[in-house]
Amino acid sequence: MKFSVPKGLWQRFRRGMPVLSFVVAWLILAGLWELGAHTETLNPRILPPPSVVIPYLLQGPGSAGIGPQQVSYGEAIGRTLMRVMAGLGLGVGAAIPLGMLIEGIPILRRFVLPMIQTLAPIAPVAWVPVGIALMGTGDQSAIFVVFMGVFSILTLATVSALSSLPPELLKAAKSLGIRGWKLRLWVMLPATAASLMTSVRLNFFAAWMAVLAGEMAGINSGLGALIILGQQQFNMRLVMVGIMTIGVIGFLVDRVMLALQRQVIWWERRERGGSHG
Amino acid sequence: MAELRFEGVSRVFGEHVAVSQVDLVVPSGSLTVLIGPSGCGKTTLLHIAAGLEQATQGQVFLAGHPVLGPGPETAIIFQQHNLFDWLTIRENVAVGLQAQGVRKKERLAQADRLLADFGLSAFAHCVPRQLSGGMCQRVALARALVLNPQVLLMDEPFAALDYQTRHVMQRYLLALWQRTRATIVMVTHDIDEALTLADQIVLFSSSPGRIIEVIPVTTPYPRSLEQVQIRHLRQHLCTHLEREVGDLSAEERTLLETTTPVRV
Repeated sequence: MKFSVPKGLWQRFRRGMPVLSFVVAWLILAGLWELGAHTETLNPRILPPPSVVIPYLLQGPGSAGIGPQQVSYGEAIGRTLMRVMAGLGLGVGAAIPLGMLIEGIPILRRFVLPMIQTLAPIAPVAWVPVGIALMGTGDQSAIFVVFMGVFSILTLATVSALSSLPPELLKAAKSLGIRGWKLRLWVMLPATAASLMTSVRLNFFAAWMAVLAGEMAGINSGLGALIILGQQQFNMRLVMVGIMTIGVIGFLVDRVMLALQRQVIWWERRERGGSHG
Repeated sequence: MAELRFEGVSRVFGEHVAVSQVDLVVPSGSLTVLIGPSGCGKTTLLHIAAGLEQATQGQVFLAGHPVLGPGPETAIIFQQHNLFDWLTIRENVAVGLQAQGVRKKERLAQADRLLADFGLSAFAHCVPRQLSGGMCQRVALARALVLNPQVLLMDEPFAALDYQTRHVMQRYLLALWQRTRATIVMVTHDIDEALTLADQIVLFSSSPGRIIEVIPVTTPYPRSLEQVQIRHLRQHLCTHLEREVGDLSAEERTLLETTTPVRV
């Protein structure tokens, strides 16, 4: 008797493969972690196993700490996400127009670009003391740290993407009468959209790490502060929950941004042709 | 359509003289082909005619008026089609009209008419990546012609295409030119392409580019490479070009060999 898998079922299975391999990889790691804790190869008091951390996560760590240091889990997630998104949004909103101006105006290229190039290598966490001194330990200084972390790198990425556009593409546009702001909005921006979207996605990770570092280093709220609180109270379940939350949210936001990128760069989803005469 | 006139045009890049003292008349309705060794400034000359570059000396005149910058009266086609990936074929053809402020309904109607002429209506809603190289080059041609230019400049427009598609496109261009009698200036490295299409061939020297000879080609279309005048002209052009390449320094010859487009 001949057995064949229905075509639709096989295609669905193939489409689900990345998710399946993702789950399997994590199950293997969790299994090894659990095994390590049970055999005491890993110290379960320092690295509590998934059988302890996951129920703790599911029951909801609620709030940790006392007095002004009290941090709610849900609120910590909301705060951190809001700070990242606000800082990243402001960074993107400032960097792309500035990058376009630098690329188009020689005097800005001469005087502003070197400043941006000097700011780019500064680690975002270095801006934490400046942020706190300027704006205190609230949301504003966290947003400032994220902004400083992404702004200069994204500006350089914009200048680089625009400079590497094929000169003939711009000449073709000019010969069609597309000049000035039209050239920038109709041609240069969409031609660099794919590269800029990738930069924004990569910068999300930079922003995510910047805000967590800031929250750990003095801005006493958010997911970063939750982890530090867990460390101070020797509540390693809380530390592990914090770390896992950071990973999962970071991954999910990246997926959302990837989906957004696919929507924005819609033409790249069209199947490639080439067989016509 | 209009006459294109180059008067004493030179172009210098730093210390390198790309084009030197070019005087040339491209008659209205002519299909003129510029041919010469790589690096002799043919492309530079085309860009000056399109207003995309400035001449260091001299001036280009279109219908008696100096060319001061790119404008709708001059269209240029490059080796790569340079279509906008993010626009549909229909929008690509209409984009020049959009830049001129033509209303959407009108510009799309004009684009549709041209796409029908070019046999591309079925692909109006595709994006460039869905079309073959030859079709994209036809769209680029439609995009240039929708603005009703007085002169069409073509910089090795078929060099990136495969052998068969190149021949189809040559026949296509010839039919278009015979129908519209547009003024066309085309740069090519391909002697056979020049002989098949041109009613006037301009032979350039190696760098700095100077005009060696302007050759009228009177053989009626369609042409065969076996026809007597074409065979003689081919021999003549080959001899000149070989001599020009022979005049190059060893360094220039290496550059020439590495920059000549690969024929598939």
